[in-house]
Amino acid sequence: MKTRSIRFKTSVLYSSILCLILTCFSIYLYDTVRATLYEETKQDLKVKAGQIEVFLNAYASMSPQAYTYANSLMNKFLSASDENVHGKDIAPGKDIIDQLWAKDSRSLGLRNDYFRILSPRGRVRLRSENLTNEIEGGFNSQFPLHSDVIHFTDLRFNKDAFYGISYPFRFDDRNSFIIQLATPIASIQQILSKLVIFIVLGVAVILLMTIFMGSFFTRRILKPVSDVTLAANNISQTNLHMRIPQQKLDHEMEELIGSFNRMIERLERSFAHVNEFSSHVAHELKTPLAIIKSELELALIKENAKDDDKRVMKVALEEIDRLIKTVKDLLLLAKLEYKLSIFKMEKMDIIEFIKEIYQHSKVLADQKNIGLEMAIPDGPILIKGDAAHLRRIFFNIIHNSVKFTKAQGEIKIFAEVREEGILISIKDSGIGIPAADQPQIFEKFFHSRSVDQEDAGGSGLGLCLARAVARSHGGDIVFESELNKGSTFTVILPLIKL
Amino acid sequence: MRILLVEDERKLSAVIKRGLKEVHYAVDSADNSDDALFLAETNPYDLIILDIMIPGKDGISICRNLRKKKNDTPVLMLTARDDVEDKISGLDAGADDYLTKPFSFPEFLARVRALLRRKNTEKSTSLKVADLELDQRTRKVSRAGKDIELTPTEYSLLEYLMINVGQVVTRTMISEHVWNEDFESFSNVINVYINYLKKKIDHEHKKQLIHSMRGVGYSLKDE
Repeated sequence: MKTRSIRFKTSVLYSSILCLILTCFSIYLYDTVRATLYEETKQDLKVKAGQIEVFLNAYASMSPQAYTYANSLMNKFLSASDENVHGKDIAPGKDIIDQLWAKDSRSLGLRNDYFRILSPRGRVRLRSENLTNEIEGGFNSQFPLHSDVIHFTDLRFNKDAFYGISYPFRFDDRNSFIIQLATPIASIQQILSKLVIFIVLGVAVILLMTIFMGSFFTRRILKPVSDVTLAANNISQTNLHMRIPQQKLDHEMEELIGSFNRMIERLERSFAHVNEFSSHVAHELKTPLAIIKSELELALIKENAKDDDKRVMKVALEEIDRLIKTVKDLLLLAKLEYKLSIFKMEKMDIIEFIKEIYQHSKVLADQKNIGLEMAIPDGPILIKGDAAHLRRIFFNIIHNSVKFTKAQGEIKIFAEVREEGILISIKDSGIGIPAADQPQIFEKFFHSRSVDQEDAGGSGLGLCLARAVARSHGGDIVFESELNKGSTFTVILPLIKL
Repeated sequence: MRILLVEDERKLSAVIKRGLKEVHYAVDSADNSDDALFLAETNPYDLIILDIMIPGKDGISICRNLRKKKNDTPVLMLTARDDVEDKISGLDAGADDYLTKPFSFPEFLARVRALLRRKNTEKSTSLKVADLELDQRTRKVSRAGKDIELTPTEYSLLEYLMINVGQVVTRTMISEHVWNEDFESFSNVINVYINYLKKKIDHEHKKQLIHSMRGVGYSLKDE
């Protein structure tokens, strides 16, 4: 797909807009899910901490001793010395509380959680069995030691992420006990990372589908455009009567095709006009010229004319001939531009053709004692061309080369095949073209002032015609020239593509 | 020899008529298609000179009409249009030759002569002028029994000259028939080929067969 095509641009536009929308939506989705999950964890932690508070206070209120038991439960995991001190006078009933706690803590699902309870003085009264020193260090640094409000925080031990609550509670009629509880949030992160993968993949798939479908639909919408282009390309000078079919189409396309067809119609009319015009000119100019020419020639054939009259008639005849040539060349030029059908394009071997040109040119060059060389690749090399008109190009160039090259000079014909086609060059060692004249040599009626008029002779249309013919073949003529050193004219003709 | 001239340009018609009478042909003229057809059907002409653009039916349909009626009088088409396709449609309609206006009068006369002569010759595969022989089947050329080697171009040129033996053929006629084209620079090329031919054919013989006619063309004749 070309980057400057409407199809490409539309697809890019669709996809960028969709990409933007999807990104915003994804961020919003991710954020909401994340917030919801964290909120749930918070509630969970709050409930757990609240339950621990309820349990502890319940144990304490079971009996006067029970308070001690509860208290001792809190001391259960304290240092060995402490345990020894209290262990000796553990009152009966403590087992019951231990059992209760074991049951209740299980019901709270604390197995994966880490927690500890701090006394108002900041002493650790109870810790979960899994609480290592390292994690406790994290607790110390992340949680406030004294606080009257519930506090949440993110924690990180080793490489695992946790979410923690610091929960002040009442016990023993004192307010500032604190439960510090941390729960792993690996599952939340798993869910979130899965969500990210899902979103990224989803967005990618949707974007790909959009690009694909967008390009498909744009192509369908734009199909009339390529149809119009194809039809317009097929319409040339030879079939200007053709129109682009106007089937059921979108309104805009209908208008476009309509104006296209109207343009072709105008073109057809002006082509017809030019054709008719040149045919009229041909008739109106050629008939009187034919009459004058025939009269003069007939008069010259008769022997009884005076010498002086004969001279006048000969001059008149020469000028008439020149006029005729100019008219013919001009008409041909007009036809080359407006009536391509004058070409009879046929498949031909350009190498054989150049050899033939060389044979004939050799005759011209030999007469003037000019050396003619040829260096061309082996044939056959096929082009599509009108041999008669192509001959005109080469004879014109060679004729000029011979004319402007002095005796003992040299002319070379060589050819090479390049990407753009076959390049056939004619290089002479002639008088060259003055730099000032170079830009104009292909113009109509151009005569170089450096060449004396008598010698120039032609209509001044030769090169112009040659170039028009070359261009009608899809090629061109270019040249290089240096004064007093010579000129090289190169005819470029496209090859038949295999 | 009686010629029908169909041309609507009065002055051109007059000068052509005068020129033809000068060389002793009898000329009838018509300036529209009805007269032309009427005259062509009533009189036995040796040649019809037909302008393509005339009032009524054009020259091409007149020619087609004549050929349909088994009238095989040679036809020389005259026209101001020189497109290849015009030329082809003219020849397809049954014309024998085709000349574009403005033409050179000697050229015109040469073609008229060639056409008038064509009517009276039988076709044979072997051409013979004096002791020069050319076999169109084997493409062998000999003079006084001695074989002469010719290049294909030289052969075509000699063949054309021999077909028109005794007649003047112009350079334009040669370039159109031998090289199948009409291009100015060719006149030099033709000159040179004529010289090659002269060397090969006339060089060692007393009797010269190929003659240059100054300003007009060439002629091969036994005089």
